[in-house]
Amino acid sequence: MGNTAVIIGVDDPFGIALCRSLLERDWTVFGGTTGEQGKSADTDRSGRFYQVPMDPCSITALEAASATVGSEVDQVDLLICNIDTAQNTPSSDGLDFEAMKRVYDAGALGTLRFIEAFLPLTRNGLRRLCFIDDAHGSIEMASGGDDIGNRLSKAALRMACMILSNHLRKEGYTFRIYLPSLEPSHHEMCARFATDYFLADREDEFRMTILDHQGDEWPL
Amino acid sequence: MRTALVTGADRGLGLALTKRFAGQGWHVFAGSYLPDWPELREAAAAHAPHITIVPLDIASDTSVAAARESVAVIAPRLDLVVNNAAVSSAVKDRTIHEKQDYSELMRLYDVNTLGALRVIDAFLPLVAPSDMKRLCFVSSEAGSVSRCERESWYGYCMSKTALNMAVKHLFNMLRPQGYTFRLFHPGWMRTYMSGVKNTEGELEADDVAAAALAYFTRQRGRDLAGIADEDRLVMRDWRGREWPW
Repeated sequence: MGNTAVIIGVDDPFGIALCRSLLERDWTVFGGTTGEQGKSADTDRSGRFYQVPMDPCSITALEAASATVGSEVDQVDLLICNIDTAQNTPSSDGLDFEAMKRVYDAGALGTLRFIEAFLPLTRNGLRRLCFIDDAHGSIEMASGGDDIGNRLSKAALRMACMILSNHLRKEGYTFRIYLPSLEPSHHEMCARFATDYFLADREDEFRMTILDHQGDEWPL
Repeated sequence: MRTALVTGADRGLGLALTKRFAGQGWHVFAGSYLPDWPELREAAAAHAPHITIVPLDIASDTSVAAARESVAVIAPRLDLVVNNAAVSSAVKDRTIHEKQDYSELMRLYDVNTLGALRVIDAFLPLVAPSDMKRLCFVSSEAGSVSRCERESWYGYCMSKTALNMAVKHLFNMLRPQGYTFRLFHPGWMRTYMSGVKNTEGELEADDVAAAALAYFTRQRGRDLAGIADEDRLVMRDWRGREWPW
């Protein structure tokens, strides 16, 4: 068997486009659906796509998903975290603290749960961890006040990535953080760019960088 | 008389700040989460009538609302709010190869990040009439993504990064209305962040409180073009050094 990727968050169009892009390059892809009724990625004609339920709010569910993947393949090369927590709530709606906790639980903590659950499968693989981010995670660039719950979660996610990188780089892991365009018509193009970015080696693996779909670097 | 609210005033930096504000003639509403801890009561007696103890659990919407009501009965306005209350965790040293305690990670977020937002959300109507409108936040270098060198401490670091983002959000919303902001990294203090006193810290809380009080109460300068330094959000430590996000 060739290379294998696990993607959590194939419920949205970008996640589906990522699956397609990896399958086109002959990868085997396990696509995690995070909703109660995950949409099919419609990519299983290749015979190398497996859809697996992955609840980011439950470490038990993610460990079960990891066991499912582990029963099919000996190793995983690429973990891709694409948990979409954007709510698009305007600032005029006031602060809903329970909603902010739910977003943090699924987005920031869900990412950690995903890595914790699947890391044991990656030891003999490429050892590359990829994270789909959005511009809302940048404190430096933050303007306006909409979607505060998602902003807090995304900022915390960057810290989680940095701690993971500090630790796991010593074990040979490499990291990619990627900001796709929010424009729906760009999903396929962004997914192809992401795949190139995720699979290519870099000369500056020793530092954490965030690239957008144009290859531009964003501040941490 | 100037008025301030200090959260997490039972001990450590919050208590030291409360005593210093009171010593400078401020009326301090001291948020108390630990009613059985004696130091704040002793300070209130020693500084009477400058300290009013207010029961306050910043993780509870109900408690924060009740605290706001009790302050409003006494003071028509608050000039300055210090969001100091925060917690750490006994299991913070777990790496990703170990089982994370996700309920504990959520507790840190609920207190360290959302707690400050709850307090500002509730008390803002009392700050609005003030001519000072100063919102202060005790954050940490642990929230600086670009300077992070830790290999664990997920819950605490993530909660402080999220707090810095929350303050940026408030800054974007409230700076145009005349509010001013102080974001502060206090350094490694000999305090009770993990529930028991850390005796290995580098700094005494009272020394840090002296630096914090000066930073919180001073104006920030204007350049020759008249552009105020207040118009950018920065995190500074007890020595005055700026920290990157």
